[in-house]
Formats: sequence, structure tokens, C-alpha cells
Amino acid sequence: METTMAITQNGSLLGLALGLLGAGLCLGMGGAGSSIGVGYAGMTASGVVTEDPNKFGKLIPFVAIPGTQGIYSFVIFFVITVMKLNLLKTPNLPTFHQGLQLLFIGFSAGIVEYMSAVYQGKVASASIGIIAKRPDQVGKGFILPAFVETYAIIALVATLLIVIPMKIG
Amino acid sequence: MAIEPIKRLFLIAPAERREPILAELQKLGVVQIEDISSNNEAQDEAEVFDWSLVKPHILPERRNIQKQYDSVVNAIRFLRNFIPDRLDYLSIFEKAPDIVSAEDEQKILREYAYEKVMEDLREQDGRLKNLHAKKLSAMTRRDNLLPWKDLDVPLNYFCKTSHVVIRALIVPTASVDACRKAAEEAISELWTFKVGETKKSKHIIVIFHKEHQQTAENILQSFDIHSAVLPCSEKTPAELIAEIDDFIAQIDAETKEIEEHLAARGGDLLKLKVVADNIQNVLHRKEAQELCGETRSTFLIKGWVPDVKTPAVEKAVRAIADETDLYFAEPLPHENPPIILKNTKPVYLYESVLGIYGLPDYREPDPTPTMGLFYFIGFGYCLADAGYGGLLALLTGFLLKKLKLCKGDRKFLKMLFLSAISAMLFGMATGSWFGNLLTDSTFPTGAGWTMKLVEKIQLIDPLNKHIMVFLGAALAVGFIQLSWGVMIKFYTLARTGNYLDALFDPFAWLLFAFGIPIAILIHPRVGMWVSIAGLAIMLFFGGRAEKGIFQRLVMGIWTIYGIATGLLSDILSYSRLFALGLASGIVASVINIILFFMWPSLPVGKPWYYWLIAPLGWALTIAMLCIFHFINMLINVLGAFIHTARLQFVEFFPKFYQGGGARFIPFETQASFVEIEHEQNKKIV
Repeated sequence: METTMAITQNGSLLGLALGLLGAGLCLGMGGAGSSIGVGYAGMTASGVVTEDPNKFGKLIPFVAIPGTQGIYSFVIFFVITVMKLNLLKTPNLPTFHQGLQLLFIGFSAGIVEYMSAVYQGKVASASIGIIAKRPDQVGKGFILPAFVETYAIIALVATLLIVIPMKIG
Repeated sequence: MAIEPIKRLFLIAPAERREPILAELQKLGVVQIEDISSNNEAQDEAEVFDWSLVKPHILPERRNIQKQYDSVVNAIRFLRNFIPDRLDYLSIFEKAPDIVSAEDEQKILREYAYEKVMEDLREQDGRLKNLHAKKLSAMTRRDNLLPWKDLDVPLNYFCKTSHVVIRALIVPTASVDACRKAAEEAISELWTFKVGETKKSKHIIVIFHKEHQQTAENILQSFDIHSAVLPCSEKTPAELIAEIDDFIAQIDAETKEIEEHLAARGGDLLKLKVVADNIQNVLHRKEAQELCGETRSTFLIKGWVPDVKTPAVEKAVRAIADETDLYFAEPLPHENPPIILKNTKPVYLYESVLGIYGLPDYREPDPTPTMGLFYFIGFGYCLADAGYGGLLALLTGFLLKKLKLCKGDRKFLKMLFLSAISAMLFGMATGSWFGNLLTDSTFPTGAGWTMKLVEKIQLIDPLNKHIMVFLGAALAVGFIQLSWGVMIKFYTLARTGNYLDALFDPFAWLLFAFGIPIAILIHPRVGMWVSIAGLAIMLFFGGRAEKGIFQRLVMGIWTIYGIATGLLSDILSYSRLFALGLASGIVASVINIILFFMWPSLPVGKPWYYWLIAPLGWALTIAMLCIFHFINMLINVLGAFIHTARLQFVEFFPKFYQGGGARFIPFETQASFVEIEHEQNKKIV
């Protein structure tokens, strides 16, 4: 009984492990999703460049858009590991509860970032068609992928709101 | 601050004045000419014109002019290949045309024999192609001879024989032995000699008596080996190769000479550009003529003119043909006049953002001023870093100063410059200067005084203390913008006389929405009743299109549901300002933290060679900081640009904005290649 209390109320290595797992899952899934998304957009962009190399500059933003989810995941990872767990100096030990919180928020944010990046990649890849055929309408092509990104941003907002005010230990 | 009023134009003039009038209108560039054959039915101007007499004008000579234009453009493209252009910055921006003075233009058009120059260019092009083809064939011959380079006999030995057959074979290394065995078994007197080899094949000369020829062919065929065809020359292969090399060098020299000659013809390029633009404008005049109608002795223009330009048009046309009839009429209710936006200095920059969504309808207010203001705020909120704002301002300022860009790109860059200043302000307010570059005491840049300075300017500290304030402010921006949108809707409805609609829809929305801040800031109960009043209006009048009282109430509840969830999701959507604002600062801090690990401390009391290594570390860190911060800035600017635009298009515009206007496209002199600088233009600039 006493040991259970100690685990749940005091900072412990178990809490730290859970928190790190959450941060790591988020980083991994976001990065994986962005890689896939950027991959889709990049493939389509290469196709357009073979037809018209002059459009290369205009294509760069489209290929970069699905990369932002990877950055959001990294922001979450950084806030958890460096700002909250203070891994670069002497690590703070979170309690078991806090560890679980970090694990679940990191995990769910990771899923959203992953899916959002993959589908944004598909939309961006389709938007590249606008550049290929109607280069004057390029602005409209930017807005459509942004709809998919909304949910990645909401996941980031929710995570930051929970993690930043957290007092570890 | 609005949409420029437009008048319908009808112009009837004697047919023989057509050319000068069109030329004059093109020079003025304020009239949009409409196709005469489009929608003339059932309009009240039918009283003025008998439309059955008016026919569109077809010009067969237009095709010839088009052909001429295409050939000049081709000549320009050809010449451009040889004249080095400036770096085109990844071709993101469109280059502005070259500038030529009006006098020079006239002189070029008068004196320049472009047909002759084009003839010459075509000739040079033909010569270049010819040389290229010659070079290719020489290369093939050389490739053929190359395996036999070490053969030290004249090649005509191969063709002069009377009793023996000499063959040059390229045999794949793998089948050499099998082939030799088969040949030695079948042919009694066989002489072979290896000239050379590569990894894949051996180059072999074989000599045998003529009577064995058929047997030999069969063996070669079975191993799929072909004999090389060598020229019957008195020279050895090595001599021939040297000869071909000389020949290729000669061709190269000749090609280079032609290319250099072409590269020196920048003057011709410019003149051809002037000619091309001139022909293009003639072509446009012909195209405009085809849009005009004609009767037996008159011609007729139907179009649009901005209201303020009507006197200028009238004066110009009358100066040419006094007997011309000009009518200027208000647009009819079912007509959609083209749109010209007219905004004052800083606001007009945001027209480039509005252009992404689409121009307003002629009869609705121009959303640019409000949208511009909120775009300014939103962009700053998303980037929210004084360092990145400053960097972006420097970058756009540099591009504006250095590059000659077309008008649209200039406008866009100026808009970014202005938005960068907003980002600087927000960064100062939140204490973010390249993230924590100036505020972390472990960095060499985070010395005490910079930290104090930043803190003095700083209003809130979102990362450590005021995270909810930063989020709340973002949502408040959303609330204000959405309410403003609904107020515009209210105003538009009330102005057009739809008072009941104004009261039941936008006003009820405003009551409901404003109850929330009133409840928070002033008094909870007052706020609650204000909101309830709004809900009551929606409940009873939201479904006023329905007939029965029951259906009406059900529709009312549906309206309430729609508006309440809509308000919630729209306002929450503004939380992206908060997230992007924090993220740019956090990623910047990450860059600082990681890179300052490499920063060597001052090597006091260390061996002397530390003093040599430390500066390398400093330089490397600074260089990496510059690169990474630059990339991060670009990514965040992209995000800020897109997401702020989305807030305008998806959350703000549906509250009041229809869009769907077409841009006013004047019939004017166009400068695709060169811009002609007129004296009067200079004065305006």
C-alpha cells in the first residue's frame, strides 16, 4: 500500500519513463506522417518539374506544407522533454499520474499529427495540379491543404495548454 | 476605400473612324470592351439600337499578324538562349519588363529592319543545327573506330584482299573462348589477332581463306557477333581518329564563334522585344475590332468605363470624330460590371490576399480594409517573433530594392514587408527574439542587459506565466473579427432596405454573441439576458420562411444549433494564432539551445592552440544559427501566410461576403517584354 502511494504521489523513474514514451511516440508518429506527406507532394512536384522546370520555385511551398506536422510534433516533444522534464540538465521526475498524462497526450497528439500529415500530403499533391494547369490560381491551391492542417494545430493547442502549465514532481 | 463605380459605355461612330478610335482607346487603357454578340436580348437599350443590324466583325488578316507575332517571339526566345540573364531567384517571382523611352521606341519602330534581323537569326539557327548534326555524325564515326585504335595498318588492307577475308570483330568476353574453339575446329587456317579489349568485350581481327566464308558467317551468327564496318581508307585508325578529333574541334570553334556573335546582340534582343510588343498591341486592336459590331456605315463598341474616366474617354473620342455618339449608362440590375478596387496606401497591399479568394460583387462592400487590418494582426500573431519579423522585413525589403519585379509581385512583397512589421511588434510584446536568444542566461547573447531590455519591452510572457492570456487574446481577436463581419452584414441588409432580415439574422447573432463578453466583463446576469434575447429572436424568427408555427419553431431551434456551434468552432479556429505564435518561438529556442552546445567558452588558462580552435567553433555556431533560423523563418512565414488567409476566407468571409466579381480588364497597350516610359508617366511616378 505504502509503495503504491509512493509511486503515485512522488516523482519516480516510472513517471519519467511514461512521459518520455509519450514524447517519443508523438515525435515519431508526427515525423513519420510528415515524411509520407512530403513524399506524396514531392513525387507529384517532380512530375511537374519534368514538364516545366520553371515552376520549381512555386512548387517548394506545396512540398513543404505537409512537413509542418513533423515540426508541431517536435515542438510537443521539446516542451515535454526539455522544458518540463529538463532532460538537458538534471531531469525532473514526474509522478506516475503526470507520466500517464504525458503519455496519453503525446500519443493522441501523435496520431492526429500522423494522419493530418499524410492526408495533407495527398491534398497538396492534388493542389500541385493547379500550378501545372492554372499557375495564376496558385493562391487557392495553398488554402485547401490548410484545412487538413487545422486538426494538427488543434492537437498542438490542446497539448500545449495541458503540458505548459504542468508542475512536474 | 471601395469599389470604383462603373458605367456602361455605348459608342457609335462612322466605320472609317474605327482604327483611330480604337488606337486612342488602347492608349487611354480605361475601357473594357465586351463582345457585341453576347446577351443583347430583352434589354431596355433595345430601344436605342436595332441589334439585328449589328453584326460581329470578322477579320481574316488577324491570323497573319498572329503568325508574324509568333515568329518574332520565336526569334526572341532563340536569341535569349545565348544572352546570359540575371539569376532568376528560383523563378518564384516574375521579372518586370525592360524599360525603353518613348522616343527610342518610335525610332526603333521606324528604322529597325526586324525582318532582316530575323532572317539572319534563322540563318544562324540553321548553321548551328547543321554544325550540331555534323558533330554528332563525326562522334559516331569516332566511336566506331575507337576499339581499333591500336591496329597499326591502313584500313584499306581490309578491303583489297583477293584470297582471304579479314574481319574486325567485337566479341563479348564471355563467349570468346567458346567462339574461338568452334572456329578453330571448323576452319583449318585461321589467323586471329587481339587489338584491344574492354571489360565487356575483346576486339579481334580474324583472317581466313575465302572458301571458309560461309562456315565463318554461320559461327558468327550462332554467337550473335557482328563484324565492325570500317572505312576503306589509306590511313590507320589512330590517324583517322586524330583527323576526326581535329574536325570536331573545328566544329566546336565555329559553333563557339556563332554563339559569341549571337551573345553580343543584346541590342537586337531589346529591339526585337519592342517590335514584338508593338505587333502584340496591333493584334489586340484587331481582336478588339472583332468584339465590336458593325452596320453598313457605322461601328459600335459596347463596354465598361470607370465613372471618373468618362469625361476623358468622351474628350478623346470626340477629338477624333466629333460626330460619334457616346452613351454612358448606369449598370442594369441584372448586369455584373467588372470590378476595380480602389483603396488607400497601406490597405491596397492586402488586395493581393483578397485576390486569392476572389473579387467582391459589384453591389457589395469591399472587404479589403477590414480584412487587411485583421490579416496584419493575424500574421503578426502567428509569426510573433521580433527576430523573424525583422529578418523577413530585411529580406522583402532587399528583394524589393534589388529586383525589378512585375507589379503583382511587388504588391505581394510589400504586403509581406508590412506584415513582418506586425510580427516584430508581436514578438516584442511576447519577448520572443529569435526564440530565447536574448533571454537565456546560459547563452553568450543572453547577457544581463539584453535580458533586461527585452523584459522592459515585453508585455506578456506566454511560455512561463501568461499562456491563457495568449490563448484568450487569440480568441478575442476571433470574436471581434467575426462580430465585425456580422455587423457588416447587418449594415448591408439595412442599407438595401431589408430591415426585417437585418434584425432577425445578424442582429440576433450579435445579441447572442455579445452576451458572452458582457457576462464576463460587466455583469453575468445582464449578459445572460442579452444572449437569451438573441436566442429568442432566432427561435421565433429564424425559421420565418416556414409556414406552420410548428415547422417554424423546429427551424428556429435548428438555426440556434447552427449559430451556436458555428460561433464556437469559428472562434476556436482562431486558437491557431496561439499555437503558431508559440511554435515559432519554441522551435527558434530549440535551434539556439542545440547550437549553443557547440559554442566554445573563452579558453582562458588553456594551452595556446585553444585560441586557434575556439574562433572556428564560434564562426561555425554563428553560421549554423544563421542558416537554421533562416529556414525556420521561411517555414513559419509560410504557415502564418496560409493560416491567416484561411481565417479570413473560411471564418470571416462567410459572415457577410459573397464574392464572385470579375476583374476589370482594360483594353490597353500591353508591355509583355518592354515597358515604354512616356514623359507624362515619369511625372506621376
